[in-house]
Amino acid sequence: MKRNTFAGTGKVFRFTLVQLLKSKANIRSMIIMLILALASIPLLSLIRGNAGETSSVSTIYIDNQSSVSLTGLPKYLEESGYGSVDVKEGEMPEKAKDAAAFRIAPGEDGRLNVETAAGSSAGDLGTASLIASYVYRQQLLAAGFTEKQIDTLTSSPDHWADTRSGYVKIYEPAPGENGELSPISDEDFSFDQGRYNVQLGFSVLLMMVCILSVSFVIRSVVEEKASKLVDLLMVSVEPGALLLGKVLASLVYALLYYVILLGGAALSRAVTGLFMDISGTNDFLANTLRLDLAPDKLAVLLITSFLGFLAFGILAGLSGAGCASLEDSSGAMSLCMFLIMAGYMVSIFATALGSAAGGGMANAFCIIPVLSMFSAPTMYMYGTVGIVPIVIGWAVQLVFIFLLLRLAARVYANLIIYKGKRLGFGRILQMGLGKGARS
Amino acid sequence: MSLIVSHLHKKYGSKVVVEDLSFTMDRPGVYALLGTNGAGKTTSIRMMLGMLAKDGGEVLWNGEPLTTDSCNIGYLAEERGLYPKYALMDQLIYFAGLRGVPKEEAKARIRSLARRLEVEEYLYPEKYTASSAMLGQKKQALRFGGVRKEKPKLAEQLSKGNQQKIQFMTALLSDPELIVLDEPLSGLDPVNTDLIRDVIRDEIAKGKYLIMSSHQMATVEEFCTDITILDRSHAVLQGNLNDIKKSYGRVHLHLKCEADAMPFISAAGITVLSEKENEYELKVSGEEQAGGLLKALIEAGVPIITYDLREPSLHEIFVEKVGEEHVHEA
Repeated sequence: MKRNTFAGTGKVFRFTLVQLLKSKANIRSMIIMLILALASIPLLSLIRGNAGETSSVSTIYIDNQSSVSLTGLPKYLEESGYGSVDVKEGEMPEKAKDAAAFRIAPGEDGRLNVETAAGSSAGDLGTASLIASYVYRQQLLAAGFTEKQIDTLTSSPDHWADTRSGYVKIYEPAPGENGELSPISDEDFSFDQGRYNVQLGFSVLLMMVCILSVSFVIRSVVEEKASKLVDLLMVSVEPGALLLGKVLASLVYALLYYVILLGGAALSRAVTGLFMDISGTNDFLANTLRLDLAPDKLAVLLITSFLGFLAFGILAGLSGAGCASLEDSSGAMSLCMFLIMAGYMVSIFATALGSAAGGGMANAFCIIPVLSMFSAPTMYMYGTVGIVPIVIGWAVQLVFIFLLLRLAARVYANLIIYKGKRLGFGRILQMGLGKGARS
Repeated sequence: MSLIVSHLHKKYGSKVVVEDLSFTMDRPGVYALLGTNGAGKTTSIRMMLGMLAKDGGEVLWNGEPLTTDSCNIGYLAEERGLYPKYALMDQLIYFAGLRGVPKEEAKARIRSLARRLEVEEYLYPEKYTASSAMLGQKKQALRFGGVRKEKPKLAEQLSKGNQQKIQFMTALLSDPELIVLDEPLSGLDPVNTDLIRDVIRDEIAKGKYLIMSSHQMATVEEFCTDITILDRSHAVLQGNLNDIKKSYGRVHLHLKCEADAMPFISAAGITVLSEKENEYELKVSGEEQAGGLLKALIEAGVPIITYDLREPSLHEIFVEKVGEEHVHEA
């Protein structure tokens, strides 16, 4: 029958998606996902605490053995996010509720130290750091620096910038020390924790969506075969459309899970912020995830991921078509799982290698189907590769998907009458490339 | 309109599964594809409908290759099923949609077929429950002060027979010109068989083209005008059923007497196909031999209850033809 290979895809897509959304088991798991997402921010905030733990301190006792005046300290602390703090010099109580005690004394090298008791909490250490900063400002003021000069001195550039060849290390020089700018060679290795965190999170998320959508596709294809519906469907719709409709529906459904997860977390963050201090969580997220979602980077992320999902979905459909019963479907998952894990591992290792994974290897990771969906978006986001390898990667993915779809359409038709043991991918490929396909 | 199937051929490896099958339907009616299990009926149908690649031959509808674009086809497959976990109504609307039937039109056809096939209670559970409530069964039907909201029925909740009626509906949802029914009545009880037979009769009356494959010869015989009997991949008998029957002549005699007629049957040299309490199925060489037996019985004063000399039934022709082939093969 000569019909448009993909006519009817929309109908198959809508029906499959609606049925997935109507399934009680699926509704239950979505609700569980939403509850987890809603609970995530309050739980994280409880675990991590807030950003300025010293803000609960209402009284600070200081044994000031220096000549620095502490009269401006309460205001300085207030501007730094503390509430109203009472600074008491000289008195050092044994125990006091919501209080902290420090000593300002000259060290052996002549520099002033701000000391707190051994085993102090992070909050105490944070406060000590602020007091030290105040003392340093006061010393600079006394030495004749203006406020503007002091601001310039105390706010240096971040030093976790890019690590590629041609960039320079930037570090904060200590007072009296000359800052040197030294070029980084290709051999230099610099581990970028922020980027690694993003890659890890992104790869895990992709892997989960892939596994979820692949399992939906396989289950859907095998169920249709096991329910003896293939004959009825094939007289109305081409195998390619049947498969593509399922793949797209499963993909949208899997993505919906993550929209719920991320949307729930965003909602949780907004609501939790109304009655709880989530500054600690915010700081944690900002410091551990260094995301750059400029429009071009977002577009690369979405297009590459979509093409990758499509390729995995069709592979899953092919694999599922080789099964005669639901019992066989776990075996059909193995090939897809292997490829998903390969893509995941490569992306993680490439990021862990940092600049060592640059150049030709990085370009290859962005072009090779299956690998590219895991590696290309972050490599582009951090400038490891330009847009050219990304576009080449899309073209390669499109050709790969087209060939897979053609193969899937031929194999699906051939397998109508097949009721034996599960066919391996090699045998399916052989069937698809051989004679006997649907005319 | 006409359907021409010419020189259809299919083999798997070296095994030929359909060999040079040709037939023509140049007018509406029922064409029967008959055969033993594995004779090639379903493979032929799949090739005709384009689901399976042909190794040779072509299928034309009004001179054009048969496709779902050139012809509105309704198909009830031998391997049939439904999505077990999905609501029946959703499935029917989906199947109709795939055949290009708009949703509202599909709903109207579903309603009409559901009434005819007596499956309304599964497709419209709310209406059914509401009717129960009106009949006074309020304890069952009412909950929380209103009519209980019945959940849509799933395919897995239906008996096999009712599932089969739903599957039969799917073949007719697009109001097809060509209806292909592969074993439409297998596994149905007599009541449901009659319901489906009535619908088939209506489709014939509407001037539809039907291709039917069945093992139930009596049913096929009731509807079909032309037949092909397939045995082990090739056609062993083809043509108009009446012509085929006439070619055999009136050679089957059903005889029932009040006394033992066996001595007279033996004396006449007639073959006995079956015998039970003075009731006989006999195969005679023609009207002359049967008339000789009748004369002998009357002269001997044997009371005769039934004397029916007729053409062979399709079942008898099938068994004879396929049996003959197997004997030749042996």
